[in-house]
Amino acid sequence: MNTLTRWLPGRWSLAAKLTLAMTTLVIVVIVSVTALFIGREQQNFRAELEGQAAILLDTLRVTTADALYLLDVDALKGFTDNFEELEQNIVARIYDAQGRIVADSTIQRGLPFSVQADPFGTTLIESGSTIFDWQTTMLNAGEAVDVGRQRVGAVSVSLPTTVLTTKVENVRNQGIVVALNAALIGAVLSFAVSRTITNPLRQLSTASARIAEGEFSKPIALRTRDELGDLATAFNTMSERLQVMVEDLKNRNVELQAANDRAMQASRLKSEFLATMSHELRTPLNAIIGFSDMLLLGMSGDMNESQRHKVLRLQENGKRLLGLVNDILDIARIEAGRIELRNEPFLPTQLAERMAQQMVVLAERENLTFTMKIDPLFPPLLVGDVQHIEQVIINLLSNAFKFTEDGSVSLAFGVDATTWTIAVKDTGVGIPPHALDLIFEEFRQVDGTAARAYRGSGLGLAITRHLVRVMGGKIGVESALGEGSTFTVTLPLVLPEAEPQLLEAIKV
Amino acid sequence: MNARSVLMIIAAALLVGACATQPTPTPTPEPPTPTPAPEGVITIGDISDDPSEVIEETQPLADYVAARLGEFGVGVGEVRVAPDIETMTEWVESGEVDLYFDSPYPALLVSEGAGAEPILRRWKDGVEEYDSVIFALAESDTEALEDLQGHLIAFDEPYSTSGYMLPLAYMVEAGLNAVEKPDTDAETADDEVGYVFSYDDENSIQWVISGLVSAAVVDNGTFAEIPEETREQLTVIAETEPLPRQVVVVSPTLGAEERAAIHDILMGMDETEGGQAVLEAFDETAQFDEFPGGTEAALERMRELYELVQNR
Repeated sequence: MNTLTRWLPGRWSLAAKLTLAMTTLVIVVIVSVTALFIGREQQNFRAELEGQAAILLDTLRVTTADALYLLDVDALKGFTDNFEELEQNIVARIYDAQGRIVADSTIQRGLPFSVQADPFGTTLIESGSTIFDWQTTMLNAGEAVDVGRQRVGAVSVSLPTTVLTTKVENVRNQGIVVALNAALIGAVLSFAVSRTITNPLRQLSTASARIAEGEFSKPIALRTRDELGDLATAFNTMSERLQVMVEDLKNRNVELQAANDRAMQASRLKSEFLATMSHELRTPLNAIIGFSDMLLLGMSGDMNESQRHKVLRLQENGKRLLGLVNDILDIARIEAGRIELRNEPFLPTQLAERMAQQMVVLAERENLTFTMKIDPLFPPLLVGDVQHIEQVIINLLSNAFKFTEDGSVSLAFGVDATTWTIAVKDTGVGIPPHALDLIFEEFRQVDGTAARAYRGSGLGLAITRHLVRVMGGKIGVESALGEGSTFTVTLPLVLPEAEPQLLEAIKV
Repeated sequence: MNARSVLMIIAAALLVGACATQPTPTPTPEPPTPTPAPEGVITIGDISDDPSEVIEETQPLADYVAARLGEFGVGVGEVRVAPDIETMTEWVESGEVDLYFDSPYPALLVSEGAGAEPILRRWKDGVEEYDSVIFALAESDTEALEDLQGHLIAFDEPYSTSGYMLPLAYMVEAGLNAVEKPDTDAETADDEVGYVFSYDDENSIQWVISGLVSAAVVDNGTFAEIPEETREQLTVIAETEPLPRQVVVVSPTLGAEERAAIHDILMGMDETEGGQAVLEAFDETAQFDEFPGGTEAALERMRELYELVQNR
């Protein structure tokens, strides 16, 4: 069965396959029956023809015995001539004691006078019984002729088998006609039967397609009570349940969408609130800081040392509060998606020198060592958002100085084929391994104690990571507790197309 | 055999009936005589076991001759068929048969027995003379007449010229001791040549092929009709001198004038259209003529051979 199905093209319809199988079966049966019938007819005819040959042989044997004994060929020719007159295409031959043909009904005039023995005649002489030799178009039958104990010769007759051939051809032709008719009827019937199977299947297939498109309204209308009817009922039940489930899902989806919208609205309102609040907070804070500057500069008269100390405390706390507000504002912008990159060519060396100038002052004040290193292969010109890159570097350096009591802070610029790196290394307190994944989250420092000890909002690294991601880069940290930390930022290397001219233009 | 005979009889009867009811184009008596037809009869005789065929073939000749013998009171031609030589001899001697045609040996037998006289040669089957061919299988050891010593040879029948008298005389002249045997199973002494009668030339040929006899004899015309493939596997041991194909014998009862008239009628047949048609019907006879070298010389050689056979 597997062998059969392997030969059936997979793209054929079920109806075509069934029709082909049924038609083939019908043809095989008809051909087999016809072959059996022809075989039986052939057997009957052969027996009948051999019977006729035996009668002729008996007659010929009895009548020719004396002439064969005397080898009177003229008389023998008279016997074979009788067969020639029968007009039934029956050939008679008479053989001498050595198997030579001495009379042959196919020879119209004279006698054969064959010197050589005939093979069939020799066989007859040597054999004591009647021999039937079936050829394609003739039955050759013969037997020896004895007079007393003397074998004087043999006789044979050849009967045409055209009657048999014609009969077999007729049966075969009738068989072909019957087979063709049966095959045609079988094909029509099998096609009709297969349609009773394939039509419901087609309805099921169409219904499945409808359900796949979300249409549940039309159930399958099958009136059969067989397995296909059961299948259709089960299908309709499944369809109804699916419809209920889909409706439920739709409702839940609507609810979820509404909740999501509300959440989005809340987030947006939060960001707007933060932005507004930050703006509103910065205005009075700037005023506080400004007026404190004016007081410290003596623009409102001299102050004693106690007054001066209080104003300084006022200014420092105002600046811290302003920094915190700025960080919150940045986070709010980032979450609201309001960060816009301004990618343009810049000179990395200028950026590095500017950082160094700021950090050297800070290092002297904190009594720390600051070093900076630039890879000699670093390109002279890069494309990127220099303000955000500078913000990232300042945030990392600020953290480094903040968490380093003594020792050093270093800044290194590196480059490879596709990226460039900013590495900020310190010899500070370090970060415990469990906190390495937390330090980039908002409002998180290693612990509350540290946050209080080192001041700060805990937003710096979160803002840094957001900015780096926005610029298509990534940030990582390696640290050992008590030995310091190294923060590495990796950014995509983007070079300007017309570098030399651009380089000159920027320098100018 | 019986069925075939019946068929032949019916066919012959139909043919005879047809001949009787339809005017025969030949012979036409010429010229028509105003006087009443004479009632005298001229009779032609033959020996055969198939009288119908013989009468059919010979009747035109009888009519032709009769029509020309009116001056002798003859107006009717008849054909009589005898079953054997003896009967024919009696008929010729008594005058019941006036003319008799046969090959030299039976013709001599009849003429000797009846005191009749051969007068002309007949070109039967268009042949003026024939001889005898003695042959054997090429693959056998029989290559010459002497090799037949101690072996059998098949002859046709006792009254056959080419199948008996001529070859037997030839063998006697060669010094062979020919002895008749009853059948092919008979013993043959080393100093003799046994001979058996096959009663048919075709039997003789077949007997050689089938090994019943070592050799056989047939006339040269029959030998030539053997299929070439078979003939190539035969070897000719000897071929005799030729003899006239047939001889015309006249009854001693006929007068000299009437005999001379018959002689002239027969001699002139091939010169007229009517005569040729009759000759053609009469076993395709080409003509009648005188014996080459004269009648006496021809008869003398034939009688020599005849006597060799009769007196051995």
